[in-house]
Amino acid sequence: MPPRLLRVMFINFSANQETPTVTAQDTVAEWRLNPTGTYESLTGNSHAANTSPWGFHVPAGGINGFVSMYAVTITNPNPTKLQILQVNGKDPWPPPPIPPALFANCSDFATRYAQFLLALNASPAVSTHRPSLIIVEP
Amino acid sequence: MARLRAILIGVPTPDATTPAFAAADAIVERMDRFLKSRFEDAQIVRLGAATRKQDVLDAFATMATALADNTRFVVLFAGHGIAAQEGHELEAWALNGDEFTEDDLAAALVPFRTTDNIVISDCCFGGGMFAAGHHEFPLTSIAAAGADGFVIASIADQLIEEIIAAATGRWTYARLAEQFRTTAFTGRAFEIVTRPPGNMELEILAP
Repeated sequence: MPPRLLRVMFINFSANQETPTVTAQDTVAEWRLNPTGTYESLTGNSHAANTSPWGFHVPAGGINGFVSMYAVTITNPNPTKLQILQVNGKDPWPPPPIPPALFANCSDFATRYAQFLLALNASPAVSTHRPSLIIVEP
Repeated sequence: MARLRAILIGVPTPDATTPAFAAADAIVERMDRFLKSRFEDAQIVRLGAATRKQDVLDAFATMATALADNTRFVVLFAGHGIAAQEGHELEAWALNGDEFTEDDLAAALVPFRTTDNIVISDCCFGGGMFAAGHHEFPLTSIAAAGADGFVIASIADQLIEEIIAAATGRWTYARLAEQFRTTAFTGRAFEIVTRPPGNMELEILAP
């Protein structure tokens, strides 16, 4: 099974904290998008691999997310107020939405949104295969 | 006093569609300044956004001349990594429309048998860059993620700061590795492997 990278973003347009339920196969750490300063920060919460479904807390007006190497299962408790986006690591997010409340005064929201959970993987530039020539050291 | 030879590569993005890792240049600059401040005899080649495979090979060839036993050879790559997966079976550093694979690295390091080699792979799947080759000579590999792992840009930025801080504090590789193990980023970020294993007790980038 080749590595697969999935970026997941939760955008909370609600005036309340929302808590979708997540099931992931690997250990994941929670991240938040910041309205000022560094683009993103760890929330300090992480979830071990193959644990039972856990609640992912998204603050009112906030944007949080995580990255997983495998497909995840998410239950959205408030689809009208909580937007959930998933893209492959090398793919850009869709065009930014209207900023949620915590980003109302953020002058560079589009940039921050685009950079959120930027993972340092890339598509192959050229096709390569295991060479038949083996490196033999003297 | 050891001599320092280094190749520092920062490639923010390999193409127009992959999001740029803007900190790649800053990481290279940070390491460049640190190494020059730490080693009196420092010769450093810096490669930037336009880097292609031949540029890296040329840099290795340049560094391979006039080696001495007391030389520390540092290679740093900051940018995007490419996973080994179906249809693309080698780990690689993503260059400008090009790539530098784990086999390329193993072959390029062969002339550096008598030096103390430290390779920092600051990208996704970075640990996989050390799978190829025998590397029976001294080699310290520091990766921002394992062969099957990814790293978020802001964490990759932190890797260099951790290395520099630890080196300044005269830590051993073992001590820094232990700190990495107990730092809860994603549970798999940042790893150090030395060959031979006993080199974990050496001081990081000792001048």
